[in-house]
Amino acid sequence: MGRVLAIAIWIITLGSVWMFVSKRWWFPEAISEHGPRVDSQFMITIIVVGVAFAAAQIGLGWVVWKFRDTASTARATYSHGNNRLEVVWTVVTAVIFISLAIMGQKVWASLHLHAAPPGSYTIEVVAQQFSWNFHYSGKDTVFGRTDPKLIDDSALNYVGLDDTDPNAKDDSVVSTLVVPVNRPVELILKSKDVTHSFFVPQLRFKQDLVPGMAIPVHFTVTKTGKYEIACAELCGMNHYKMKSYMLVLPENEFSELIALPQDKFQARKDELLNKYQLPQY
Amino acid sequence: MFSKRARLWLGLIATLSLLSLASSCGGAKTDDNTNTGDKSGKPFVAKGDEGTITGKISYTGAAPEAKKIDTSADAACTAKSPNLTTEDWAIKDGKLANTYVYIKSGTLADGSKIGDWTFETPATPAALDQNGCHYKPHVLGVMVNQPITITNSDPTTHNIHFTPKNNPDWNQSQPNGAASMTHKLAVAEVLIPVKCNQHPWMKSYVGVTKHPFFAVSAEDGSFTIKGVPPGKYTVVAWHEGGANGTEKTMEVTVPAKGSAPADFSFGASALGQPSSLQMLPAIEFPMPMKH
Repeated sequence: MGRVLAIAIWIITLGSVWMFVSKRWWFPEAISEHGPRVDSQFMITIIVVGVAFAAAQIGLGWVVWKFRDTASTARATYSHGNNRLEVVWTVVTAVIFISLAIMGQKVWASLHLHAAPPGSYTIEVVAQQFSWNFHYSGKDTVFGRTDPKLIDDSALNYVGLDDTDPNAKDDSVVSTLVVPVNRPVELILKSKDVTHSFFVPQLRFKQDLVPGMAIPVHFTVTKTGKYEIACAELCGMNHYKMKSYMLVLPENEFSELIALPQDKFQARKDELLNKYQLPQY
Repeated sequence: MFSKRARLWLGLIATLSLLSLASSCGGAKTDDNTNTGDKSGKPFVAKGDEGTITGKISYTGAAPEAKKIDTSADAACTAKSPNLTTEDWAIKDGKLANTYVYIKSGTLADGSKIGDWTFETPATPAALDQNGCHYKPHVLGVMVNQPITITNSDPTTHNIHFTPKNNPDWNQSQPNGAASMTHKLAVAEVLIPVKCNQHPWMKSYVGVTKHPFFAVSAEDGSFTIKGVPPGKYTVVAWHEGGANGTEKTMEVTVPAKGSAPADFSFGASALGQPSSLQMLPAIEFPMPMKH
């Protein structure tokens, strides 16, 4: 029985390793400037923990095999263990994981803690149960004043935009994120109700939207197309339907869109949404 | 059995409990329609001399333009209603639809108050349909405890959410193809906002009264309240426009077997005027952090 269990452990280990090595179920293509760095960090991490996992499971199988129930009448003995070995593997594990964390924080901090580069295009993102609102500043690149008291969903004022503010005249609020390709984009993330999470798998980017906070983040997209935005934080009963799209446009198409007045912005955005297709995997 | 001190404490606690119970039960009534749907009044019996209140709701000034709704987040909505627009101001030829008109208070010809009577609740359910990713009708009037049948005629999931002030909150998911649901409101309340948690642009209003004297203005702005006993009434026209809706009040005398006119006018000047109606406040989210 011990031999069967040991072989089962090795087969499961081999199968698990093969699932990663074969890359049959892998991430979608990375479309952001920082994406390859995230993937590289992930690969280093998966190799390190993969080797440790395989070694531990092979060792487990070996112990199960060696100390299986046999006809021997020898009594089992108690082993206190080896203090030196315990210290060594604890220190080695700590060093490995702290090193990985330090390596990984570089790319994360560059997107979350550093200011957006000059020339970034800023979009305000206001999430609510269960939809996304993207607020564009229009041709003047200045956001109109917003006031929570002006929020009126039935009048389509999802973000409380003050129509009397001259800066709001050319602002648009739609349910699609439209960004330029190869140009830094800054998002100001806000939530009206509960915690949501902005997640585009191809971007290799995820950030919570916390009620009461305006969280600035930035990234640069390197490939045009249409991608799905998912809410990655369980936000309520209809969380599963809280999705939207991110359209990545060539600079000329993007500039033309954001220069449009409110009444034409949405129609043009819908045209572009139909023009681009989701990637097939 | 109890010591003198224990009896004193017990008596004090009992007295305080009774006092707090009495204060919680003694809610002030502001008009004849804000009481609950209890049957403590006399049952109203029609005498055959009832009249009507008829009128038109007008809108003066430049009509606010309906805005096209961005439904792209739900392809099912876009496919079924590609040109969906806002319905907060439904104006045609200067006439305003979706205005809720009702008798707020008044005195019958025999000197009794309208609130002294009880009226039979219709067994026929009122219908509220989610069709094309908007509510039909946009404004609905029902009596206390009258069933409301809620259907989903769309190929997508809706989440119907009554957000009342005096009645219990009611929040139900209704997938496409699901059976209709029935909901009743036990306390008179004008008006209850109804929203869809799934599609934020969807909004409806349900007015609940303990009497049947209410109407919603049609596309041409007209309305008729039938079967009104002769008397003098305060009639209110409520429209959702404005910060918390806007209401207009008029004193109307209904003659026996006659018709009393009650024309109301809303306009741009009324926009943003706070109403005396206590609607739920908008969700507030402070943003202390500046970018």
